[in-house]
Order: sequence, then structure tokens, then C-alpha cells
Amino acid sequence: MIAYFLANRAEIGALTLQHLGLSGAALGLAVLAGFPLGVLLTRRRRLAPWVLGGAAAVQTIPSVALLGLLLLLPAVGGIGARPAVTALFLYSLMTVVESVYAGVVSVDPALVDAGRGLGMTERQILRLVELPLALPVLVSGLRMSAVLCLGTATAASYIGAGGLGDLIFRGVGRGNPYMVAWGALPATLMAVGVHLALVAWERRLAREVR
Amino acid sequence: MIRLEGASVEFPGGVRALDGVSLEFAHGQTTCLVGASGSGKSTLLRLVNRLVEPTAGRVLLDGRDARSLDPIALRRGMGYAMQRGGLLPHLTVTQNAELVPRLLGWPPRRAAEAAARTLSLVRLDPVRYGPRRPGTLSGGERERASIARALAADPAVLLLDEPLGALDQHLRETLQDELRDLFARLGKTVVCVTHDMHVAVGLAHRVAVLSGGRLAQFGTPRQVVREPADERVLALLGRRREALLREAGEGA
Ligand SMILES: Nc1ncnc2c1ncn2[C@@H]1O[C@H](COP(=O)(O)OP(=O)(O)OP(=O)(O)O)[C@@H](O)[C@H]1O
Ligand SMILES: [Mg+2]
Repeated sequence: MIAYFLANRAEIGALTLQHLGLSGAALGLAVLAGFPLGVLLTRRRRLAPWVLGGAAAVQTIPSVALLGLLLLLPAVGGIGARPAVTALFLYSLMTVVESVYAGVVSVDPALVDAGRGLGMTERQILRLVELPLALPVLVSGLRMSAVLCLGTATAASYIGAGGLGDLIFRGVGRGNPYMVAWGALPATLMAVGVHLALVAWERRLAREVR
Repeated sequence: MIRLEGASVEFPGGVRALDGVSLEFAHGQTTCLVGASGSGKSTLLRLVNRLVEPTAGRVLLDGRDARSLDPIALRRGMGYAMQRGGLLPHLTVTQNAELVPRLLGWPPRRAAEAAARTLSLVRLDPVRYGPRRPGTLSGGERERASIARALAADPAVLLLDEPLGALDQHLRETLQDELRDLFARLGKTVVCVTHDMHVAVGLAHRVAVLSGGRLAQFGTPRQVVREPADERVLALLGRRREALLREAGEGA
């Protein structure tokens, strides 16, 4: 196990970075798009069940099937990193949207009312009351997306996007358990690390909000 | 001057919270709204700063229909301490008190000074209490912080919803006397909701008694205590009427 690592550490390192890059890019895009979308949804709450329902539907598509479907699409599809990021983006987008919506909706209406009573505009209510109070829920959504991304990114190897999935699939094919383990381990460690960091952040936020 | 003309509020679902209320809150005077739970006190208060709109009748502010005024500017010009305080839990006491001055675009220094001044006014040491979060305050401290927040931008009109509900009797009476003097000195127009006739007698120039959304009586505290308009007002005074008569007698 150690020997395998020492012999192949350059490749493992490179694939880990690639894995992180795919997940990070997808998550970053998901936050950029999902945040405003989630906020918009809180202003149009009647749309929420439809959008969130659609989101759930996307998430139930198995990752391999989604990647397969993306093979057929131009621009965002095909093979390589781009469709992989697209697929991961679609999965995490919905978690982000959902957590923004759930977080804002969970804010005590009396506090929104207090903000309004002090003379805040709707924008200021969002910025000064709703979002800060929704932050713990938001961060927990971010955590789930991040872990999901890091896990699902292994499937990206199927369409030639690289990442730690390469080692896993190659290892399975050649019957080399060390190879499989060194594909899975870094991904797991990253997921656990991100999870722990964000849980700590969530805790701190929750304390501040109380 | 704030005037209600036949103002009614009917909430969706058919709850009639206010029913044709006409009265006037005179400039520089303190009016207490009293009445049983659910009689429409909070709703009347919120009618003044347009948190609820009348479904019939109208609200006039210095002769102009409130609906013709910008609600944001209107609310920033009126201090509002809502029922149970409504302090924002993620901000410190000082940050809460600075909110309206900051919304009005005051420079940070001036806002901080205003917050410190009004916190002292309600007997919350700004150094000790300022950095704390509302969640760590007692109920009475929270109420006082909420009053300080309402006062910070020095508004001409103050809307206070049960501002002294969680205070013990001694502190309540002390603060009540201080607030009365303060309101008089600063010439504030104050509308103050309370379910406690003692507060009304101790604080108000005028008392408006609400009952089931209707104005049951409007007069000086002394008039209301001495000559209750009907049984509902009498019932509100209850067994404490003797004590109230004495208190009201001294005042007037
Ligand atoms: N947003 C609302 N939607 C529906 N009904 C409401 C709403 N707000 C108040 N009501 C109803 O209107 C009536 C008057 O409410 P209001 O809050 O003004 O009473 P109150 O006199 O302030 O009572 P309390 O002393 O308990 O605070 C109540 O019957 C209440 O249930
Ligand atoms: Mg009330």
C-alpha cells in the first residue's frame, strides 16, 4: 500500500488535484448560479414546489446515466472535463438552491417584520436580516454539495475527464486493489476534511445567530 | 399629528382586527392603547407606520393620507419597539441600536454616539451591554434595548408595543417615570400599547381603550378610571380600580 503510493505519488497527486479542480469548478459555478436563483425563489414562493420538485428529479438521475445523456449534447456535453463539470454542477446546483430557499424561509417572520418596521427596504431586509440568519442552513447546504461533488466526481472518469476515478476504474479493471484504494482514499479524505471544516463553521454561525 | 378616520382592518380570512376607529394622537402627547388580548392594539399601532393598511377609512399624518407617503421614509421617521422587542439576534445590542441611524445614512461615529446615548437613557451601560447579543439579555434588558433602538435616531413619533411588559414592578415604575419625563422634555408624540392600566395611568396624557377592535373609550387616564364608558372598560380596570383611582388622582 505504502509502496504503491511512493511509486506512484506523482500520478496520485496530479489526479487528486484534477479531482479537486472538477469538484471545485462545479461547486463554484453552482454557488454563483444557485445563490441568486434561491433568493429569487424566496421572492416567488409559489414557484418553489415546482422548481424544487424539478431539482429533486434531476438529482435522482444516476450519475453515469446523466454523463451518458450529456455525451449527446453540444457545447456543455461530449467527453472530457466540460460535461463532467456540467453534471456535477447540475447535482450541486439544486442543493444550493434548496438550502438558500430553506434557510431564508426558516427565518422568524417576526424578525423580518422588525426589519420592515425599522424602515428597511426589501433589499436591506434580505441583506441585513434574512441572509445572515439563513447562513447556518446555507453553509450546511454548501457542505452537502461539496461532499456530493467530491464523491460523484469519480464517475467523471467514465467520460475521460480524469480525476481519481481513473485510478479506481483502472484498478478494478486490472484487479489491483492498491490502485483502487489510492483512488478512493484521497477523495474520501477530502470529503471528510471539507465536511469537518464546514461543520465547524456552521456551529460557529449557529452560535452567533442565537 | 396622527389621526385615524373610521379606520378598519380586516385580515384575510375575515378577522376584523379594527372596526371603524376614529381618534387623534396629539402632537407631543403620550397616548396609551389599552385593551384585552386580541382587541387590536398592535394592529392599531402598525396602522400608523403602515405595517398594515386600512381596509376601510384612513390614517392621516399631519393632514396627509399615509398612503400617499413613502412607507420607508415614514418608518425611519418613527421609532418602533415591537412586541417582544424584535431585536436582531445576530447583531450586538449596540449594532441593533445603531440600525435606524445607519439606515438613515448617518456617519458611523454619530450613529455610535446616538446608540450609546439612548442605551444609557434606558439604563443599559453601553460599555457592558453594548457588545452583548440579545440572546444573552434578560427579558427586561431586551425590552430596554428595544426602546433604545426606537429612540436612537431621535424620531418625533414613537410607537411602543408593550415596552415594559417583562420588567419587575420597581424597575417598571422607575423607567416609566423616566420615560414620561423624557418624552415630555423631548416633545415626543408617543403611542404606547399596554395591557396594564397602571402603566397607562403613569405614562399617558390620553388613554384609548379598545375592545373587540372598536374604540370603547378615549379620554384622560383619570376620566377612564373614574367614569368608565361601559362594562367592558370597567372590566378592564378590574379589582385594581381603587388603586388606579388613587394613582390617577395624584397625577391630575
Ligand atoms: N396577520 C394577521 N392575520 C390574521 N389575523 C391577525 C393578524 N394579526 C392580528 N390578527 C388578529 O387580529 C386581532 C387583533 O390582533 P392584535 O395583535 O392587534 O391584538 P392585541 O390587542 O395587540 O393583542 P395582545 O395584547 O395579545 O398583543 C386578533 O384577533 C388577531 O388574531
Ligand atoms: Mg399586541
